[in-house]
Amino acid sequence: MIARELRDRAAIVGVGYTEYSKNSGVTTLTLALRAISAALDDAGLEIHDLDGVACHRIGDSADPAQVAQALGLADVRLVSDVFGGGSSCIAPLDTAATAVSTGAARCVVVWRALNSRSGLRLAGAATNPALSGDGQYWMPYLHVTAPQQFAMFARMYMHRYGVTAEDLGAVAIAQREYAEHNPRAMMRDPLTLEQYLASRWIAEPLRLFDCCLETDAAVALVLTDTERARDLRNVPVTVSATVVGGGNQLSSNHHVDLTTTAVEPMATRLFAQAGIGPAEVDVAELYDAFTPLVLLQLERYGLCAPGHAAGLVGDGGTRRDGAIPTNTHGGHLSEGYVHGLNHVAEAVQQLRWTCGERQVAGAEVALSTAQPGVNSGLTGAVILRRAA
Amino acid sequence: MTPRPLPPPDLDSGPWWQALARNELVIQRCASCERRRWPARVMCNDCGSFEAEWIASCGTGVVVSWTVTHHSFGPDVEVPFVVALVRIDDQDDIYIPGYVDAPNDGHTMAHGLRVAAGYDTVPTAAGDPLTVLRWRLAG
Repeated sequence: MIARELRDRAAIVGVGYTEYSKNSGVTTLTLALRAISAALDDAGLEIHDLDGVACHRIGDSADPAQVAQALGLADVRLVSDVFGGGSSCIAPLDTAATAVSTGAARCVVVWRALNSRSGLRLAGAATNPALSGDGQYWMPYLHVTAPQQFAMFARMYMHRYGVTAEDLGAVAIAQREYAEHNPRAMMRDPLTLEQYLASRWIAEPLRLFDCCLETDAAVALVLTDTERARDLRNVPVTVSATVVGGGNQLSSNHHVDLTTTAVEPMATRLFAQAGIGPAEVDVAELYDAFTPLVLLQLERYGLCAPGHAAGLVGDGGTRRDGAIPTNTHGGHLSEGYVHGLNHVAEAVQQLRWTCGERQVAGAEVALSTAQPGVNSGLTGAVILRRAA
Repeated sequence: MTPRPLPPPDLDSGPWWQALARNELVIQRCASCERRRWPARVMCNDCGSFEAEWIASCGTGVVVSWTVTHHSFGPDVEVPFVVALVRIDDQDDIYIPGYVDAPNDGHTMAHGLRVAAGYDTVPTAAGDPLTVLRWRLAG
């Protein structure tokens, strides 16, 4: 955990991507190595500068020991192999940042590599009993896919706050507008409300355009300590605070209001650790496997008041010139689904001021989040800052 | 009907599934603090006691959410179908999913519908049918 004592002592110095596709035609190991190479190139570092490897996966990707071997690393000081999906996507970054800021490791690469369209399709990942301790109570009803699970939550959230289909559509449309300016994005054609409303149901109340894109891709981030980062080629983006944890899920004791999540107590800690308030966040990259999660997190992270997110999005508040530009790459809905790590990569580039037409002018502070703990009860988040 | 790809009941949950097979809805009650709980757990997550018994639920509750699955994600999965989440009247934090004895397109579903436990069987990949909940409208 990056608490106050370690604030801004670790920096992200390299960002690397593979191509995004529906069929990569290569192994997840190959995807990981390509993204790691690209991130090292971006940082101006060499493979043998690395002494740490960290990723999250759900039994669907090359393991970090194999990746270290393939890179030729013979003396690795940090190996973090997190079992988990979107809820856990900040955990490897958290471990890496802690390691480089305490000196436990000097330079750590964090990645996520997945063939989530051509390989193990993520939408059906819940059919893997190892992933779902209480899945036995849902699987007999064929209630096993991610859209079904999140649809159950979405209806409760929508009912509580009076959120409509049009409100969900506004989220998808706002993110598509960003994606139109993102050459990496898989979905770049304009999306209208009429098209959104005409799209087919997946699991009511979620339509096709409420759902993220299953993608084959990898994203990698290279971290080192901030002092060293100042000698490298990119503007350092420092890790101001991280939180990873949670606990409040469907079956938790005394969890009566199921629209409350793991986020609320953790958001308070996150901002305290960073020494800022939500109003100081310039860019938010919020985990968006499904549209309702964006509205939920805008509220739960204090970027707007509870029940006000739909209005905020509808009024353009998440656009580039709005109160809180959100999912500026198009998110999982329109850029592609790299299980949370492409959100962090976008946040880094926003703080480097290299995002071209989708750049948020003068962005200094970014928030990037994990899945807010619907079903899993776990989440995480990071606050990043452009180094002075 | 589609055979269900079941994880087998585990040693904690066996009594729950056995009760459903007898068309009974049961929950656990902590022997120390009497707090009710579900799903099956060996320990009370309120007081930490390992002593508990399975007791009959009152069997009624209220619909707090539901999904209507339209996208068929497997060759044999017939759509649409409704799955509801029901808060049972025994305690305010116990939510149990199940089918609902209502049209498959969900058009009669609503927040706050009163339901009572009903039962149905589904085929399983393992061969033996499994008894599951099919909540009945209770007016």
